[in-house]
Amino acid sequence: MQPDTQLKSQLKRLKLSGVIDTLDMRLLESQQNQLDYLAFLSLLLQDEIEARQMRKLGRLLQQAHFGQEQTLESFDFTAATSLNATLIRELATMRFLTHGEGVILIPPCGKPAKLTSRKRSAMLLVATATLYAFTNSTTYFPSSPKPISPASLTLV
Amino acid sequence: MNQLIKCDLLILDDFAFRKIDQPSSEYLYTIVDNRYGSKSIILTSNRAMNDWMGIFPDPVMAGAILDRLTHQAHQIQLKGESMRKKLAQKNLT
Repeated sequence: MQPDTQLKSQLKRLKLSGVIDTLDMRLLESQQNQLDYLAFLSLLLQDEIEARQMRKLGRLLQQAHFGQEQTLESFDFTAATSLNATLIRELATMRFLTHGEGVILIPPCGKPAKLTSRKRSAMLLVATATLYAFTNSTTYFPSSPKPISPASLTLV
Repeated sequence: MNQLIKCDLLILDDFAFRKIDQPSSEYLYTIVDNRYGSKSIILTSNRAMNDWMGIFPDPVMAGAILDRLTHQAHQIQLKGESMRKKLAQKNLT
């Protein structure tokens, strides 16, 4: 068995598909840049971590049934002038979760039901919450004394 | 019930859309009271907040629930056409 084939079957057995996907590229990269063993291994493991996070995100987004994809990056704040972009971005950091603060999305006073931006921003918040839930990484809470447990989302 | 109390984020979409009965408002109170101060809730509603009181049978219970929901909550007021109306127009043209 070729060393390469053997390695790939070992990786497969250990369910490290993220490593398999980037192995050839990382190998070439480390040869070109003369990376040491530790840096090479760390790169590969990081690829595996990221691949797992992406898979988890995909799964969570599917379970959440958002219907339509909505991300903060693609959200047009100039079109929704009534929205406070700073507040939305602050909320999207999900810091409000650490303090147990609530968020309320309401229509303008005395106006009949309006849906677009409300639904949209709710969706993007939910999407970010999902994103947070799956990473549960401390990067969202750099100053948080106690990272909260993986968030479970409940749509009612 | 336990899951609704303990999950890190609870999202209530279309809050105050319909009137709710006493057992339901007690149920909601238990959830909201247990989460108050420690776990977040996101509410979206098509009604103005002044109208929320009217969906509960008991004004005292309503006050208790709404106090906890709105205290320390970020409020976002939205304008804009109805999503479904917009989609319908789009399909016409």
